[in-house]
Amino acid sequence: MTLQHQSLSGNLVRALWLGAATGAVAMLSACASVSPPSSAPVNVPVVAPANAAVVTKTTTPASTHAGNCVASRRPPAQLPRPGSMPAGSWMAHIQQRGHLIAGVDQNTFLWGYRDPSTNQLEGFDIDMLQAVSRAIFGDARPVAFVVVPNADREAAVKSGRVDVLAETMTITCKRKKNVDFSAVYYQAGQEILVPVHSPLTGNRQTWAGQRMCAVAGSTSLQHLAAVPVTPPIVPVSVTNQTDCLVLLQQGQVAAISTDDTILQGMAAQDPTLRIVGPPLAPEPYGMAVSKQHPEFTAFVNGVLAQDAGHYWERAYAKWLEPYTHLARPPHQPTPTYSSSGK
Amino acid sequence: MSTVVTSPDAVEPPAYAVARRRKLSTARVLTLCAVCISVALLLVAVVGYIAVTGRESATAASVNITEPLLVDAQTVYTSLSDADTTAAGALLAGPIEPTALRQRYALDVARASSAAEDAARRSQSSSTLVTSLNSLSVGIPIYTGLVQEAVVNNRLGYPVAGAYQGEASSFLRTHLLPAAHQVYRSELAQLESNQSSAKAVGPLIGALLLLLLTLGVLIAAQVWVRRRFRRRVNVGLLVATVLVGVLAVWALVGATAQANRIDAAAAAGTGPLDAYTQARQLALQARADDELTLVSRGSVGSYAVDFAAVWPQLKGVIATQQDSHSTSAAAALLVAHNRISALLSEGQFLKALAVGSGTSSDGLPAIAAHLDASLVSGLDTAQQRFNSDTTSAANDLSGLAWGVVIVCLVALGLALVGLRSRAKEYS
Repeated sequence: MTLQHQSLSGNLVRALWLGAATGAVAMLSACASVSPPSSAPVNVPVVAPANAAVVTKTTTPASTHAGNCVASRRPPAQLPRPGSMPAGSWMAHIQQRGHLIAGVDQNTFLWGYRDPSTNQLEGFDIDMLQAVSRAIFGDARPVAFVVVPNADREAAVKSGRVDVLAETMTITCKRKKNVDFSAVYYQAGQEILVPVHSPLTGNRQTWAGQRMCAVAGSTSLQHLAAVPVTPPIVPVSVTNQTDCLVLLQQGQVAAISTDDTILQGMAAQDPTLRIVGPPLAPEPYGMAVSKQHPEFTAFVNGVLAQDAGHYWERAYAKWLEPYTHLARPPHQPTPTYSSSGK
Repeated sequence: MSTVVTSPDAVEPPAYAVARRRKLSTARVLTLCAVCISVALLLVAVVGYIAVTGRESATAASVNITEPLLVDAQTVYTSLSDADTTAAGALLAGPIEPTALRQRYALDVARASSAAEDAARRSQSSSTLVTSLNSLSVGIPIYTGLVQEAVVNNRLGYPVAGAYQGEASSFLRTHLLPAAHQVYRSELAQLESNQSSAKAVGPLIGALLLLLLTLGVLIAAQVWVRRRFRRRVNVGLLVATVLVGVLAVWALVGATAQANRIDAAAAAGTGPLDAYTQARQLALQARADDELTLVSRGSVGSYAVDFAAVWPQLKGVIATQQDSHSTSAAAALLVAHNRISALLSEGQFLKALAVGSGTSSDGLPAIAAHLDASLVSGLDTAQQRFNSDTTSAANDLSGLAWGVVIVCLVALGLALVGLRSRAKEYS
C-alpha cells in the first residue's frame, strides 16, 4: 500500500488561527473602550499524536473477504462432557496440562483489555475464551492468557504457542491458509464514530470532504478513501487506534472509522460520541485454532452452537449493549459449516 | 639629535655659542627622555589596565552571569525530561497517581517554568534565545494540559489516557526539548565565549610589548646619562627600571596562572557540566521510553526504537567522563530495559509492569533513580570545580589592574626625579 503523507500542520494552524481570531474578537468587543493591544502574533504550536498525517493517496481496497471462507468445521453432534475429553484429542491434551492457553489482546477496550485498577484482562473475547475453558474443565479455573500483538496472531497460533486465540480477528480467506477459524462469533463491520451532534449521518453524501481518522496501513483507511463522494473524504492516519480518539476529542478530525467493535470501545470512553452505520464493510470475527487440531476447532464451534450457559448474551449485555447502536440485532451470528471446514 | 637646533646665528657659530648649544642640546635630550619615559609608562598603565580589567570582567561574568544562566537552561532541559518520565510513571502506577509522583511532576513543571522565566529576564535579548524561550512559555501549559487529560482518563480507567500521555510526550520531545536545548546551547556558547575572552591574549601582549619598550627606553636613558655625566648610577632611573621589570614579571605570571585556571575550569567544569547535563537528559528519556512502552501496554513499538537510539548515546557521553559508577548504572538501565522487552514479547505484561514500576531494587525506578543520582552528583562536582577554578582565576588577577597603574605612576615619578637631578646642572 503506497501512502503519501502531508503534515497536519496546515489545516491545524488554520483552525487554531480561526479560534485565536474568534477569541481576539470576543476580547476586543468586551473591552471596546481600551485601546487595542499591539502585540506580536503568537504562534500556537501544532499538537498531534506522533506520526499523525493526512493521507493523500491510497490504493483501492483488495477484496479480502470471500463469503464461503467463513464456513467452519461442523461440530460433533454431542459435545463431550466437561472434564472427560476424548482420548487423543487436543482437548484431552489441554485437560491433562490443566489449563487452556489462549492468545488475547490487552489494548482493545471492551474486547480484550487490562483493567488498570485490577490489572485483570477483561472483555468480550476474554469471556468467549473462558466459556471454552469451562467446557473443557467444567469449572471456572483461570485461563493462561498470553498477550499476542496483532501482527503476530497467525504465527502464535500456527506455532502452537497458544491453543486458541480470540483477538477481534476478522476471518479472511488469506488468513485461513495459515490457521483454522471457528464459526463467526461476532459479526462486526466498519462504521464511523462521530460527536453526538455531528451532521454526519448514514447518508454517505454527508461525509464529503470530511477529515476522518484510521490506523495507517489498515483496510479501514483504504475503504474510507474509496467512498464515492465529492469532494472525497480526507483520511488522516495514525499509528495507534486510540490516537484517533485523541484527534476526535481535540476536534482535529470529524470522525473515526474502523470496526464497530473498536468504536464501541471508544464510545465507552466518551459519552458525547455515537456510532453511525450502516457498515462500510463486513468484518466477521472468528477464534483462531491451529490447523493441526481440527477436532479442537469443531469443539469450539460446538461450544458456540450449544451456548449452554447463555454466555454470548451475557457477554454481549455486559460489554457491548450499552454502546452499540440500535440497528444491530443483539443475537449470536448463525454459524455456517462445511464438512471440510475450508 | 643636535641638528634639532635651527637658530639664525647658527651659520657661523662663535666658540661660546657652540658651548651653549651643547648645553642646550643636553637639556633638550633630558627633556626628550622625560617625555618618552612618561608617554611609555602612561601607555603601559592605560593598555595594561584595559587588558587586565577586560580579563577580570570576563572571568567574573562567566561565574556570576553566564554560569547561573547555564544552570537555569540546564534546569529547564532536565526538569522537562524528568516531568516526562514522572508523568508516564504515575500512569503506570494505576488509576490513582501516587502523591509522591504527582508532587515530583508539579515540582518539575514549576522548576522548568520558573527557570525559563528567570532565563528570559536575565538574558540580553538575543533573537534565537527569545524565540526559544517564547516556545517554552507557550508550550509548557499545552504540555501540562495534555498530561492532565491523560490523568483524568486514567482515573476513569479509559485506555485513551495512554494516547494522551503519548501525545504529551511527543509534544514535549518535538517542541519543548528542542527549545530548551537551544536555550542551553546558547548559554553554553555564551559561557565559552566568556572563557575565551577571559584569557584573551591580544591586549595583554600589547601591554607587555609596551612594558618591554619602556624598559628599553629606561635602560637607554641610563646608558646615555652615565656616558654624558660620567656618573655610575642614577638612582631614580634604576629603581624605576626595576619596578617596571617586576611589573612585567607580575603581569606575565598572574595572567598565565589565570589563563591556566580558566582552562582548568573549562576542562574540569564546563566540559563535564555539559556531558552530565546531556547524560541526565538521555537517561531520563530512556526511562520514559520504557514507561511509555508499558503505558501503551506494549502496543507502541516506537519507544523501544527510541531507547535503542538513546542508550548508546548515553553510554558514549558517560564514557567521556570515565565515571565507572555512572557507567555501571547505565548498564543496569539497559538490563532492566531488556528484561521489560523480553517479558513484553512473551506476553508477560504483569511481570514487565512489575519491573517497570515496582519497588524492587532491580526494578526500573530504583535503577533509573540510582543512575540519575550518580549523574546529578557528577553534575554537582563539575559545577563546584567550575566555580572554584573560576574564582581562583579571578584571584590570580587580583590587584593587578590597579597595580599596573600605581607601579607605572611611581616609576614615572622616580624616573622624572632622577632626570631632574641631572637637568638641574644646566638650569
